[in-house]
Amino acid sequence: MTLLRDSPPSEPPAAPSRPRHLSVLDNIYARRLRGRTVMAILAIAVLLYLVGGPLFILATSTFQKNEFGLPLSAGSRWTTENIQTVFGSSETYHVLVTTLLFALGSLIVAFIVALSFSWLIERTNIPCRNLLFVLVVAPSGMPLLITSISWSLLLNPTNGVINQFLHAVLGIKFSAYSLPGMILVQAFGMVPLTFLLITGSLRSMNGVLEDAADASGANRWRIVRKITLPLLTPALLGALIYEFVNSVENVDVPLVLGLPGHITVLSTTIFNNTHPATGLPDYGLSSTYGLLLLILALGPLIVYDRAIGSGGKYATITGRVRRPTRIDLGRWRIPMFIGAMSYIVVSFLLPLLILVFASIQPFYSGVNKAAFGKVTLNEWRNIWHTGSVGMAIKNTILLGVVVSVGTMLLSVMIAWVIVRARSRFIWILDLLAFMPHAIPGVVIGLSVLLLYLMLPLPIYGTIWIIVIAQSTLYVSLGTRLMGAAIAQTQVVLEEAAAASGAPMRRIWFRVIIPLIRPSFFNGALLVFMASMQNLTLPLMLSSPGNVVLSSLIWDRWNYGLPTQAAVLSVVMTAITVTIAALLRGGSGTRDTV
Amino acid sequence: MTTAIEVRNLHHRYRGAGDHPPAVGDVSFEVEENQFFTLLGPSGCGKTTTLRCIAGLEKPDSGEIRLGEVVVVSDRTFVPTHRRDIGMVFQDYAVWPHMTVFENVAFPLRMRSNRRVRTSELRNKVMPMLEMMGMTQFEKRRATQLSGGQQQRLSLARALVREPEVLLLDEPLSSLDARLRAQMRTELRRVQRQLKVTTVFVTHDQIEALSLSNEIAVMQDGNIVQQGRPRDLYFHPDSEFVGNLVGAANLITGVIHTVGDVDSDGIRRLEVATDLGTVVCEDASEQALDTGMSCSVLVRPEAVLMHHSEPEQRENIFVGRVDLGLFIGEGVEHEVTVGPIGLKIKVPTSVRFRRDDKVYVEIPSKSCVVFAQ
Repeated sequence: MTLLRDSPPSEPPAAPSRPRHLSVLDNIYARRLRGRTVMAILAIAVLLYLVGGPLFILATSTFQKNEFGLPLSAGSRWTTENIQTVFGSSETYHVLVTTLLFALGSLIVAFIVALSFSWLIERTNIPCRNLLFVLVVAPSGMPLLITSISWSLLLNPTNGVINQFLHAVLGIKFSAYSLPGMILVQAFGMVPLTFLLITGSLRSMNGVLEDAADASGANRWRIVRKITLPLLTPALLGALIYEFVNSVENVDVPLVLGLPGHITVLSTTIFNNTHPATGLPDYGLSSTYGLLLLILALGPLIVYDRAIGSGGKYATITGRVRRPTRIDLGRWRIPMFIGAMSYIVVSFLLPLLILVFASIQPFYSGVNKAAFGKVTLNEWRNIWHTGSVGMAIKNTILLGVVVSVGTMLLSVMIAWVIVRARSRFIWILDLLAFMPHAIPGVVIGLSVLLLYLMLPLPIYGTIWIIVIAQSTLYVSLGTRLMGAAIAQTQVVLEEAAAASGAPMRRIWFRVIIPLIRPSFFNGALLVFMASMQNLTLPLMLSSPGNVVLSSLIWDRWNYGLPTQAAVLSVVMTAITVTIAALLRGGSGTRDTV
Repeated sequence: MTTAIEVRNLHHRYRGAGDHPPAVGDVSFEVEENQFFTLLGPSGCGKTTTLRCIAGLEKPDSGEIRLGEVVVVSDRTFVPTHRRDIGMVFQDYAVWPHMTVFENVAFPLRMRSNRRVRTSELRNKVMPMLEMMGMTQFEKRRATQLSGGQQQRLSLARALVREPEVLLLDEPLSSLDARLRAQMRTELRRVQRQLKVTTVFVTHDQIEALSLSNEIAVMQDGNIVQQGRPRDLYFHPDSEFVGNLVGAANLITGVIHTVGDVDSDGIRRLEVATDLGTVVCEDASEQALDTGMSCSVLVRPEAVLMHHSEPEQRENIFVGRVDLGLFIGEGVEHEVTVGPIGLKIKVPTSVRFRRDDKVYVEIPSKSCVVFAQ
């Protein structure tokens, strides 16, 4: 069985009697097919290398141990010791429960907020809907690390601004270094994407379906229960699964807010085992925790797949669609608007302001009269001369450009083969490209780390190891985006070009690429932004030589230099919010992920 | 005349089709130069697959295809689409949305050479083509700013601009609305006559097939069941399937009572016992017929005559009652109950029949086609 639909038949040797032009055409045809087959094989090979390799190493090193903590090396032996250690310790169960509480808590908060905003903006006559839309989505430009830092500045128990205020007025304090604090900040961070995922389906929902229920005699509540929610279920479940993986894989909030309060979740356990404050890293133990996290993340996904199925992944809405009617909020219009704006002020504006304020303090010690007297731009001037800042900026740009362009090129290739090929074996490619979507970033980081500790490739400790890890992480996103884009361009456009005499190469350059260019750029920008914001991988794979902005900010913050961290945070937020705004102008924002 | 297209023993089965019958079973036909050849059939009969094999968009499992002098498909050869001397029009227009009207038409010309061709070099080819389609004023527009009919004309211009040996049309009219379809039908025939390009046309619409073609091949379940000129197919179908496909038909079942001798024109007179009574038919076919065989008699609605009073000296007169009359402008379509069965009868508007009128239905024996079961 051949892999591609048009694979060449076993070519018989050219008969000598055949006219010459035929054999020439034969060769050209064979070459075209080889090109197409090579493309599919290359895509599978690259994916196997990026996705399969690390996971294999992870699984293997779970069952290995030696005294240096480095599995698959001299002196390591096969054992179930790691498993016994992990499951024999009550600490593990405590961490598991904390992880689940953290994930579920933040999911609940994020979904309530996101659903409310989606409903208000898409289905009611609340004023300034476009402004609200932009303001809800804008925080997606703020990396979770920076959100966490600013909430630490706002809500830390000693000199957090809000705590100072609460203490003065009500005599109470609320610590950010607690599980509720972590849940709140994680939820703030997840609201923009959750909102985007839900609002898209709410917006594209066909109002006629609700009208039909109305005309069949259903009241408003029954329409919501019997028509609207069932129609939204796939989108809601999809968003839920996606954000669940997000909340268990992130190290940002657990590091910044969990560490001071001694609250450990699975992702920080993995990180701590590979980057211990003292002693040698225990990669075997870390792998076991990684495997546990992988199972935790995959579980809901399998349930989701069973419930919804992946059949309609690229389904597009056809037929005449009518926008649903908006609900008149009446006298609640203005109060609702004020409520919505207050959320935005608290979740986005306050953190932004405190960062700016912290960046112009010699040493941040709360907001008070004395602090205003000490305002200085010293750090803004001096920081650029610190050696690692220049390197971090250079590395960040290099990382972002290579990862976004590389990942998107790979994604286009994979997506085209998946969408256009009619082979029975394409599901292998589909599955491989989908896998990273379900693998927590911290697990990818760990696996890639292990792989290049073993492999004699000189990329450990360089920026390139992060490039590879991030490419693995974002190839699912890229493939999904490009898959949708290619599925939207009709195959007849390519066939018409072939029938007009265009060979495959020219079909690519004249038809396929121009048609998917907007989606490609939007996708590349999205990956660039994600790459910049990502802390997990740069941290898991960090070395002095490959520091990027996100890991540098964490480093400065962790080192007790809040002013420097604040300056860098303001710079980075400015860049990523700008990119997020550029994305808005692009085409594909609403159907990302 | 020379043969422009030759298809021999074409066979194709789609991957993953499982136990389904092959899309194309065993298809052979030839198309003479400058002819308009139509593949007609219901959806899923294999007509589009056959066309896609000719275009090279599908690689048949076996068979041979020759375009002009070039063998494009055989056991050892497969010429890819872009190396075949064809022009193709697709059902959904397939105009490139990122190019202007001019650039869409110029594209096949640009593909002729590997270097970049200057636009001015292409104008003397592209503009006459646009003119022929009445589209010169849209030259600089984006293809997506055109209406459906304009897009399809553009698509035709693009297919013809490189003066292909063969023009392939894959249901080009079915995305258009009824009025536009009739207009484009005329235009298509005019252009094809003017340019004298050998054309293979795929359609499921019998009016398009009958009005445009020199020759029609009717396909069913992956095979050609009858091939011939439009008039032959309409008046002398080989089977109930073909008879029904090429136009509205009444089918009356019965048993052959007597078989007459073949006369000098090759015609036999048959008497068929049906639910109506005895129907006399003139059979021009060479099928084996014998007394006692069950058969069906096909007669077109417009061939049946209807009278208010009983005509004299005629055969095949039956008494009926008008059930329904649909006025369609050019005539009236009636449902008439004759004995236990209903007949469709289309009459000119000159004589008026009303519901429940008693009528005399006349089935001319020349218009009857008999199919032995």
